[in-house]
Amino acid sequence: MRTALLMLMLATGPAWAGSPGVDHDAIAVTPVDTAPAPAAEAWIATYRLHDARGTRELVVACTDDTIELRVAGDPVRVWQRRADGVEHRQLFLDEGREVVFAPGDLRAIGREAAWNDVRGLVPARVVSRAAASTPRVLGHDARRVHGVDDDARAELTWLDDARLPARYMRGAMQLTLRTLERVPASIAFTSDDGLRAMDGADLGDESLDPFARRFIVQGFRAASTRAPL
Amino acid sequence: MRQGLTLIATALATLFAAAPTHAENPQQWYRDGAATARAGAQLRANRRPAKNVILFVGDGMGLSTVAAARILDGQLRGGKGEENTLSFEKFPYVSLSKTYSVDGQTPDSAPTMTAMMTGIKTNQGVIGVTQDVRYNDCASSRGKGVATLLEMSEAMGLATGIVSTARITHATPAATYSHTANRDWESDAELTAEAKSNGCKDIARQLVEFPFGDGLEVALGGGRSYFIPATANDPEDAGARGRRKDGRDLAGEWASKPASAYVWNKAQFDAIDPRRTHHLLGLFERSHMEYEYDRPTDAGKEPSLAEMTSKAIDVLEGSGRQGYFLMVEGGRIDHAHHAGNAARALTDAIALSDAVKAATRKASLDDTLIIVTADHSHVFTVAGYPDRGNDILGKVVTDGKVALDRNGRPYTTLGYANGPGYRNGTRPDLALVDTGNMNFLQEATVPLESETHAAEDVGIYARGPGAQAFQGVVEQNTIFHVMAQSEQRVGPFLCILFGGCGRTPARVQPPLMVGTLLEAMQPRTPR
Repeated sequence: MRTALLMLMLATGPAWAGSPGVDHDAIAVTPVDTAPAPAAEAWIATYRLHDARGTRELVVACTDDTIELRVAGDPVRVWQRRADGVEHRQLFLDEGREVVFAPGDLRAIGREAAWNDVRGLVPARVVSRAAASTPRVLGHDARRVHGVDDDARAELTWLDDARLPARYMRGAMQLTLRTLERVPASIAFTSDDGLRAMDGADLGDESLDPFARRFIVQGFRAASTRAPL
Repeated sequence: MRQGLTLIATALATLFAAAPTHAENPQQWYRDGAATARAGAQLRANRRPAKNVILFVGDGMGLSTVAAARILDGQLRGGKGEENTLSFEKFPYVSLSKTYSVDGQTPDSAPTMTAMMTGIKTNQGVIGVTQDVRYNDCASSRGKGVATLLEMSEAMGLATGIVSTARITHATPAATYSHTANRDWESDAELTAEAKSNGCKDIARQLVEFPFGDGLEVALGGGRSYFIPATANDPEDAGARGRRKDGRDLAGEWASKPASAYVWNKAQFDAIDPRRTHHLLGLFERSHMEYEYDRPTDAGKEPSLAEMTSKAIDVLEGSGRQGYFLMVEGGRIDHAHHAGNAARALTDAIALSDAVKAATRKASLDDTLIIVTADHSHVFTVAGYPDRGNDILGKVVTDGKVALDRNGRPYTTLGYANGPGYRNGTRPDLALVDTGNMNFLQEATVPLESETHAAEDVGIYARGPGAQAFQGVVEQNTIFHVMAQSEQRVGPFLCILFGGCGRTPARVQPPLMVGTLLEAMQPRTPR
């Protein structure tokens, strides 16, 4: 043993001290701001949501680059515009967990989100057909459209300043705005402090993690990674 | 000696030249086959010690993935595809690796890479520790760390490096330099209270506080957020922050040392002069790097796996050491398969082949052992009876007609036994579906949100000094022993330590524990 250790020490020699002369300034980090700066204020909207699952309250918090949806009993779902596309997060508050789908991972599973569709809850193609109309809704100017969209009867009342629907019906689904207010962005969104975050891409490698196992089998509301409703 | 080298070179040159040409006729098939057989018969082993060792790991790159990637690569080059060979398929020595772990028939990347790096099999979910360690139990891992080939190489005075398209703290790269009871303890934010109270260090910290030699010379990959504090903004994604709760800026700590640099985008990476930078850390994404297909659209711009491999070799060779150990992982083949997205998985497998090609151009056949393998397979199939040259991402076409199932619907050549590609109810009608679209998910039989690994063997492809040791079907941990016995300094050291090399009897019981190697290093001179 001693011989082996001696040999090791001899072979190792003195630790290399490195050579001087690397110009750290030459490779200085330069931040790239390709996504908008964090907003100071956010919209908080509460809706009455009626669909095949029944009737419940939907709370929406949003800024120009983030939208968060909260429904009792569901994970908190967040879409956020990033430099590489739209990132989606699901927060499981009761379990202290968070699953993050990077834009590239959403593309790989065929669930890439179009920001304009996600941010307004309603497909942008429907919004684009809405025309100025009266009366105002909760003190906000509104636009309206009704007709058939993608083989389903649709009706939309749209608020331009909040970039949110006041009323949206599509097939059997009905979304009705109850309250709308501006609040500081710092308190509008659900904090993920203390949640253990994992990548959606890593779920398949986590066979020992009971949470990941359930996610893999149940999928939770995985389809909702593409669109809020 | 010179004659022997000439023989080897001639045999290899013949072997490489023996790949079938595009002239397909009975005479050519016969000649090509005969030439390959002659080259194999003339092959002479290179028994000299390896100055350098490079281990390539295609994460999840099972044999069906290799075959499909070979065909896709060939078709992208304008050929029929089947006759194509990926760069590493030209290597003369091929073996099969049994990938099971101590407690799992189908393994994850943690025990499999541990097997390749330490020479022992271990349990699911743990890295660089023996099978005595219980998953997620820090206390049970105390004193159970097994020395890795990278640690031994660094301790013996060689240069070392790791490259991955996954997070550099992810299981495969982590198994080269860290020891942990839970593969998920990548930053201190993931450590449990038990882990903290019992002194377990997170994986990123273990990389930066690497205790052997003067630390790794190269670490390139993703996982930036695991190295920077939760209070610090990410440089690429405005509004995103680091993960670390201990406030440490590990990337900054790395860069603050002599002749060291940290880069996070391709422009900075390209600006690195390997003659002046001897310790290079590159973290190109907050988490995993982009899939190869998506890489061109990345906001911060990322180097390719081949570019990272080339730069890593340049830095390692520029270190002035007597040799090096380098591990390169194509980490996102696995993720794309989990997503049920064969097109991205195959594109990343081709990127790994390109990286191997880059390495073979830089590293001498005479003194560098190169091994290409996978940690495990996936439930990925290449099925049906498609005609020769049929689009590998397309629907099965037999005798010029789209093949139909018993319900009259077409089906694809590629598919999965389970995963997100499952469709509810009856099979979808793919007649008008572009299955070659990069976002198409191949059909799966069993509905799971994430496709799973598979237990079948994976290939080992090797060339260079010591490669001839790969014979037949071997346990995965054999890969470590082939690398160790071939490496110029580690081989003789382990011979003295454990005997079995015809010289002296064993002095200690294997395996070589981290603590033993650390004791041998004392007194250690800090970098």
